[in-house]
Amino acid sequence: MLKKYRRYKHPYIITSIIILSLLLFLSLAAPLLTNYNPVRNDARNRLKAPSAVHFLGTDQFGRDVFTRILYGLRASLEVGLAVVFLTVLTGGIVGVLAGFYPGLDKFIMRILDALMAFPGIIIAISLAAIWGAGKLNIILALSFAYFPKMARIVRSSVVAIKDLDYVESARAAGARDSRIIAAYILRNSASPIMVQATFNFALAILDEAALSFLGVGIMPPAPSLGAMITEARNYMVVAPWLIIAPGIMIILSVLSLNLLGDGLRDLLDPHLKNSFKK
Amino acid sequence: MLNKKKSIYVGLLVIIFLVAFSTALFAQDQEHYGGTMNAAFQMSVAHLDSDNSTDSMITTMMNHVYEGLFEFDENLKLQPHLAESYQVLKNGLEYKVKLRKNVMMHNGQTMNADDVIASFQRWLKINNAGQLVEPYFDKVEKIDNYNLVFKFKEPYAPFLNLLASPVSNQKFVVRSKEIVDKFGTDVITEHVGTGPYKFAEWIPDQKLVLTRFDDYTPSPLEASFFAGKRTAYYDKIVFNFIPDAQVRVSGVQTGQFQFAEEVPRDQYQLFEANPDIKNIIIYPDRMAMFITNNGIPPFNNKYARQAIVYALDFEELGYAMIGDSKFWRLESALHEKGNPWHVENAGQGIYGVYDPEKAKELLKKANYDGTPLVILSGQDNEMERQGAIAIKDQLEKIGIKVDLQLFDRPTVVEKRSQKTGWNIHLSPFIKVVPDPQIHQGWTGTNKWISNWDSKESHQMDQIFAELLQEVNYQKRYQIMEKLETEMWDSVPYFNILDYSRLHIIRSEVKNFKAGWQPFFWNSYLE
Amino acid sequence: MLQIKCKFNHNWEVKRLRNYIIKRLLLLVPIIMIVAVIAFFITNLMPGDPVRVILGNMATEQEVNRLNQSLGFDQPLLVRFFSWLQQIIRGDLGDSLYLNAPVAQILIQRMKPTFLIAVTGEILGVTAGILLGILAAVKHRKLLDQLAITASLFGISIPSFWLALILMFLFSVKLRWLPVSGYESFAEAGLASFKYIILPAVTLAFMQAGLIARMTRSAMLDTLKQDYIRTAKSKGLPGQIIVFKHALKNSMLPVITVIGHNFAVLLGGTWIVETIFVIPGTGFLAINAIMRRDIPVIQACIIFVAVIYIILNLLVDLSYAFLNPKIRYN
Repeated sequence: MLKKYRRYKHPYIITSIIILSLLLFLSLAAPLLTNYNPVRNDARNRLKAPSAVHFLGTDQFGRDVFTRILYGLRASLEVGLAVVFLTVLTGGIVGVLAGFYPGLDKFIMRILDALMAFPGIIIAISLAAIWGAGKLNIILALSFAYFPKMARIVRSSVVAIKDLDYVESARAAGARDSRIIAAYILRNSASPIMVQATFNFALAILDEAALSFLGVGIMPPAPSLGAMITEARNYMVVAPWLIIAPGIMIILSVLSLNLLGDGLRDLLDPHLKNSFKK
Repeated sequence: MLNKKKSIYVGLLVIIFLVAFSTALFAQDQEHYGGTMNAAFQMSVAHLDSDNSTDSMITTMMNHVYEGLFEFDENLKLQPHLAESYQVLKNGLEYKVKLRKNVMMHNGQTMNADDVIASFQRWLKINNAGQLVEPYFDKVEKIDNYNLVFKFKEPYAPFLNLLASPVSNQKFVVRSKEIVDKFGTDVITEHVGTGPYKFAEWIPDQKLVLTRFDDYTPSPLEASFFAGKRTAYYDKIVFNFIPDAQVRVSGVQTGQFQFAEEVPRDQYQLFEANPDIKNIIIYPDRMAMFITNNGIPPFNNKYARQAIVYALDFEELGYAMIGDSKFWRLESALHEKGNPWHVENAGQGIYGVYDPEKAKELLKKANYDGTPLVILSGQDNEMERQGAIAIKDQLEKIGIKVDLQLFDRPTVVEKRSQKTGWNIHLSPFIKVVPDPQIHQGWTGTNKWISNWDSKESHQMDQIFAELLQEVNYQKRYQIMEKLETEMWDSVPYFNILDYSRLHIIRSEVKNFKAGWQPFFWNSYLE
Repeated sequence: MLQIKCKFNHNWEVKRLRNYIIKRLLLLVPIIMIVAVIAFFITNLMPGDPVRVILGNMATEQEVNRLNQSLGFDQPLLVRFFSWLQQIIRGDLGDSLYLNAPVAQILIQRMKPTFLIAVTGEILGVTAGILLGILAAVKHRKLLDQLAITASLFGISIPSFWLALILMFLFSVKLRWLPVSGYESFAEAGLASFKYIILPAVTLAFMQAGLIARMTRSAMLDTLKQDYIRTAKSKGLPGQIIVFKHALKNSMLPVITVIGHNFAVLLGGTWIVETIFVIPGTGFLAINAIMRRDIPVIQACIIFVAVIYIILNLLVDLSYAFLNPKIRYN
């Protein structure tokens, strides 16, 4: 039964990996795929409709939209990856500390509770407003917004396995904390971390776009899918390609990441399928 | 006897005819009355007290509620408004003003010299235009209820123009003395003026509602923009604050609004094709000012400032900043063609000469060390945002490194007030100015615009002081020419181009006159 | 599942539940304190000078200093923090720097539209989500299931601001069925007021529907596997009754949790949606306040969202306690 279930679920992972590698290829091979520079203007050719010369038309500065989308996608993926890395790192450390050392647990959990009381996007907006626009600041703001959830997940899996017999016996055999954490605990919490990380990746792309949309994201003229949508607002009627193309790119990447997350969750840990994102 | 009877009949007939005719006439005029003007504006305001802010939007709206002693007509000529007449005496040291009698205010009392004096003293104290006048001003004296005299210590040429200034919040308006006494210098929240509309409701960030003032006393002069007779046809005017341009547009398209301020210029053709909508272009409307931080390198050197003019392709900037060439034109002078202060050939040989090689040469001469230039600009203003991005692109194309910093307004305002941390800033200035000394001609050594204190800036100060003292137009104009020449030599800041904003109005609105600040008296719904 | 009804037979259980509630309420105090501290420092560390925003570009240094003094911004940060804390503890949120009114009063005014679109959005999202989830679970591994999964994936993958703009473009600009923006209260406009909240509510509903559909589907699938459903089936109860009366009821716990947790996310979403549709609610207020550094208002808006989240979470946990006697209250 389980085997059948897994086989059935695999298409998710395969489909999503195919789409994701395609997107990754598009963003990495951008310089080969286009002759245009994403930030160079040609204002005399502004707002040109899609054509053979400009595959997806040009924007209000006469920049090639296709080129900007490829580079914008690259920026989104960079932000997403960096946020995943930072949340796993900080969430992992805080989670292990809380789960492993009961003395710290209460204190850490209260703070995490308070942090989680703010919707992530609100924390990110506020922090991005404080630190100013820019890729690094967005990454830090989003990581700060997401790490409490990750820390909680890590903590609960640490708590769940810390008192199991084989961990106890390892401790009795004189293993140090660091070794126990590395050998048993992290290995056992890898699955939920991976699943959450994938969802965080998707969320980071969405939220980066929202921040750029509000003007606290990636600093122009560097291409960002969210900022492209903001800028397109005023041209929505005369140049709809400006708003449709980046939106579809965001949906495609977020959708495939969510699909991957679902697939991974079912594959790695069938018990987890009742847990939910957010 | 019969004749008498006959003549009575004839007389009666004539009377009946006259009554019928006049009611018909009256009715025809009456037809225009009624309805609501729903207008969509971009920016909300903090409060409605023009003396306590620098926000031109407050004046735009409250022009319907308050009136000035003087107002400008469509030829940018000063006309008495609440004043009936005036005399300039003692070579510009005294201004004697006679007020119109029986002008009703919104509290049911008539306006008199006390109201004017109370309002003026408040304006002098807290309005930043008043603060410009204050050092030269002596006192205002009441002669009787309808006559007063403004006395100066030194001549101050732009005084009357400043009283009626169309720039941001500068205009002097008459408020009821009661209210001025009650609020002092605090923000006024009760509004008693003389205007054709009175204050009804104010929901911050959402709307301001004005209703017709039935006892309004119009000026006897012919209607011309802000001057002359104002007739309140609409029962109500609602100013809605709608930050999103597309929302304002669609509101007008669907008839939710009758007027929308500042809509996307790229949709001009679409509006043109729509029989329900009329385009309104006020031209020239704004100028795009290129401001450098002249207090720190590299722009503390004249050659670096000149270099930047040669480094820019102004025409391409026009397309990038504004778009369709219908909406902008290159203009080097501070005052537009047709304005009495327009100086032909200002900046000849430097303005609009795109010469990157010369720019590099001048930068070298200025010992520019290649530190990236910081452009500090606002996200919320299209001209600033687009302009900053386009300037970065142009400078980078010729090998100058640029660090672009786009922020929201509060951050920009704060960072720009610092002496360091920025090199270039863009700012939209109001172009329609009736006097070179209203707000932009020269802002002065070390004032808000350029953090600049040097031999060159003091020279500018001196020319500007001359301009201030001179009452004769011909002589003032010559000083103005000198000022423009000096400005294009030392380049403290410069005008990139003049541009216009696009407003739209529903075609059922008739007799709408496009002033530099939109106003809704004298227009009506059909 | 039928045992649920008679779970509070014993006095000690009631007592335990009461103790649990008291404990949870006490726990709120430190959390809300930390929330307030975060809100204070976030807002006061923002760059951008509210005083210069109020006074405008042309303000002189004296004017700036004078206003800074009268607003108390010349004090050191920590001094301001403690006086602010005292004020907050008294229940006073301060005055808006910009709107000339007490923050509490503004917030209350602005809550109505926010709740209206949030609740409408939530209702739409929950209804669509649960229906979609049931459909997927009942038609497990059939085409409809696939379609429902894809639809719910789309729901959680579409950026809400993009969706808002596209919906506005389609329904307001192109088709002109609905007003582009704005808001009229029910008292003012009656039923017509709904045309203003449809698009914002639908935008908010999209993500909720996606999340809830996914949760409902997996919870239903779990329940349908349970023994008592099999028993019911073997008893010959018709499929629909099983699904709606038994399986759905038992799948509600995790679904309620998702709804509770995500209502705050939805409130966060109103920040963007209200800004786009110009709905004068708390989100629009918050974004405007950020854009002009109206510090007391930003603080209040942040605390508002956090407090709602905390209360909802408490309610979710309590509903767990009521619905499922097996949960230990600690």
